[in-house]
Amino acid sequence: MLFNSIQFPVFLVIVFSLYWMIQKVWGAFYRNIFIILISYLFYGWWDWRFLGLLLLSSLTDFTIGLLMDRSTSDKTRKRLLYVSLLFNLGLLMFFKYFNFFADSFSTLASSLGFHPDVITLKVILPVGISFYTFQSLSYTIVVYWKKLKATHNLVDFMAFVSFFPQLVAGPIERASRLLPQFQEDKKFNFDFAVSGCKLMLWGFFKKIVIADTLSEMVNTIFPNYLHLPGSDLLLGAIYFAFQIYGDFSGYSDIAIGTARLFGFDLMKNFNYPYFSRDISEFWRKWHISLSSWFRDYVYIPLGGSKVSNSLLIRNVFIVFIVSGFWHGANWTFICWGLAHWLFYLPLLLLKRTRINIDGVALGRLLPSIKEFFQMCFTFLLATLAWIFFRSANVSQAFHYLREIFSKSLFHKPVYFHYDLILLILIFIGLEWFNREKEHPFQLAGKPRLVRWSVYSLAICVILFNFAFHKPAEFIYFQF
Amino acid sequence: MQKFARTFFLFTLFLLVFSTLISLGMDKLLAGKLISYRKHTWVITMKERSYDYGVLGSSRVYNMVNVPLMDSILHTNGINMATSGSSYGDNYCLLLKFLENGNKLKKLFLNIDEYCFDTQHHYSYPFADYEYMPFFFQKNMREVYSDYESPSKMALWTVVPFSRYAEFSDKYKLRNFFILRHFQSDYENSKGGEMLTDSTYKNFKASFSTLNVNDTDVKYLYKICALCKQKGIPVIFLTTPESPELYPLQKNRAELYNRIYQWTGQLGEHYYMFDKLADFSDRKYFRDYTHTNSVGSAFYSKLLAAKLREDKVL
Repeated sequence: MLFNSIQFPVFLVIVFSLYWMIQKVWGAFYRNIFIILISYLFYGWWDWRFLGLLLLSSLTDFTIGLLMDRSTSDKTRKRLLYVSLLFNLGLLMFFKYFNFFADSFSTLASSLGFHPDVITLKVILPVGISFYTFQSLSYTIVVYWKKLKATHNLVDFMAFVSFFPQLVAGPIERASRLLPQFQEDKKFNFDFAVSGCKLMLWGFFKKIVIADTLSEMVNTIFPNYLHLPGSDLLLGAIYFAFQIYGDFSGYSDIAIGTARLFGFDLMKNFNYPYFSRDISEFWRKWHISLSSWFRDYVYIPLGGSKVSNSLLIRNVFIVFIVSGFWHGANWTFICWGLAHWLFYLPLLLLKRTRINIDGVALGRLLPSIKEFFQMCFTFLLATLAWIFFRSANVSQAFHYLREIFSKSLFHKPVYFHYDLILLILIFIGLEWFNREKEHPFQLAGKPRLVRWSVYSLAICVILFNFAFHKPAEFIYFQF
Repeated sequence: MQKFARTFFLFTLFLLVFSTLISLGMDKLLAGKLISYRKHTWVITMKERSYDYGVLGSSRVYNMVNVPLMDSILHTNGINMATSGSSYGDNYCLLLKFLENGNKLKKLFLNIDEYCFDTQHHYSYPFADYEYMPFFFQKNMREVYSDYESPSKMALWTVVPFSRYAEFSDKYKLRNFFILRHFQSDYENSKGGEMLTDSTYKNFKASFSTLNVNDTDVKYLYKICALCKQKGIPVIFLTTPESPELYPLQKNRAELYNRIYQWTGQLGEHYYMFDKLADFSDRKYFRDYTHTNSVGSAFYSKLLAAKLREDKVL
């Protein structure tokens, strides 16, 4: 089920009412059973055949967690961790990467003069597999590290893995943060629920008004890259930068907001990333749940920053390449990761990765000229990297980039639409002037009439942009 | 929880009022502004124009009556107001809005054929409801809506007026409201028609073996004629060419055409059945059973113009 479908609000209202009734009458255990049922329904709405995979993933990691908990031998515990890694990454490998490796092997062999009969499978990628396997994996890793005691309650664990708001596109929660929330009784909190509604509203605005509006133009420019001047291609890349941000951060906000209605606090996934002054800051603000996952479970175990310069460069390289690969089985994503690594490298070598820790222009209305140019430059780097992300293949991406850096960059663009530029500027303005808040719809202190008028206007604009007859999917569903 | 439910309820009421005000504003704005390239919008937003004749109906006249060609022969000024897949109900709304805007017609050529009386089966969307949203609350429009829409949809659009625009937001794109340049519709050049340049004959299988008559469609045939009578516009009926290969597939064609002759005799000044003009059995004139290609349309339009001149209709 899509968040931006007609069924979702109906589903949400029914589930919300039943959830709090069950919590009040029967308590946490039955409430969690209800969460599992509705989460499986939510997931099965897309394709019920993959429910078995979700169940298998939950049962395996729950069992491994229990066995780790009971074992006193470090060797056994390590073996169990390997089993969990093998199982979860094996699932990902099979469903997501099998054909990629088979094709890449075939291409490599052909270039060496061999012509092997490589098998490719018609595998359907289960929605959200990268998200829930990573979430489930985070559990076995922290249990192995003894940072979390394994749960003995299968219902709690299954609810943790399958919790519907963040099941298909994150945020990828840590077991140590989210699992305890399933173990406690919940009391309805008015302010928390209202804050969830407002966050959902902002999420829908970003997805439907910003991302879906820009997608039309992006879907025109990228496939026609051979016939367009560099100026249009640069515009296309900028449109895509805002499309993917609106799409993915919109989904995250809807997920976090929905979870709040049920009394759950999910981690923040985006923190105004396009107001970053360098790439390092960008990565602390973009897809935070994934970048911090890689930091905690890949970068730090590899030695983190407490190693020699060469190892540090290697560690960061691994994180960026794995991050690119996580997004999809295509060389374009690997190039995207590689591009970010290259952008990150100068900061790493100059030890300037943590100079922009605080928010930009705190307490000031406008940034300084230096900050402004830093933000523009960082945005430009991120936008250039997005070209790899959006292109169908690497050669398209390189052609696209070549054209941008050619004389045709100064041609009059065909796809410069004032209304779209205005929309982007309004969006940037809304985010900039509210960057110290969670989102622009936090209007505390304003009279109720003003607040409700703003929310109502936003809902009307969202409904007016919503394609009732064919809602657009979220980009990150494919990952 | 009670406080949340109460706030939610009050906010929903507020939203309803707020969205209703917005939709009323949109009704006013959209009623007179060309914000899309669609044919309906072009006709509806036209003001204070005079034409010697107008052509109204479905794709059978939209694609087959070449108005610029006829005008060059007859030295007239005509307009093709027909729209693809439209029923008489839709045609009635379009004509009504056109005339309400101060536009004038001296004659109306109205399409009539065997499909006009069972549009729910033959056409995928016989009443383009989204085109007339700004006029939904007008009495004569509501009658048409009631005849073509389900009661639940009528109730929703009445109680939550904004839902009309929200449902069809793909037709009323928000960004089109802010396009600064004023565009001129391409229909101005073609005088509203569109000839089918795809000349390949597609031997479609006809799935409609029995031709039915639907009361709603008949009702709006009468309403169009009554409106024209009220405005002093004589109605001339046209049945445009069809491939004779179609006839054996239609079980009760003769029976239905008997009724069509009755209606045209009763309601129209003239009736021009295509087979009285020439032999249209050659496949080269057709794109499919029921639509001529541009060659066939030109051939038919010339013959029609000649006949109209001969009869002193134009």
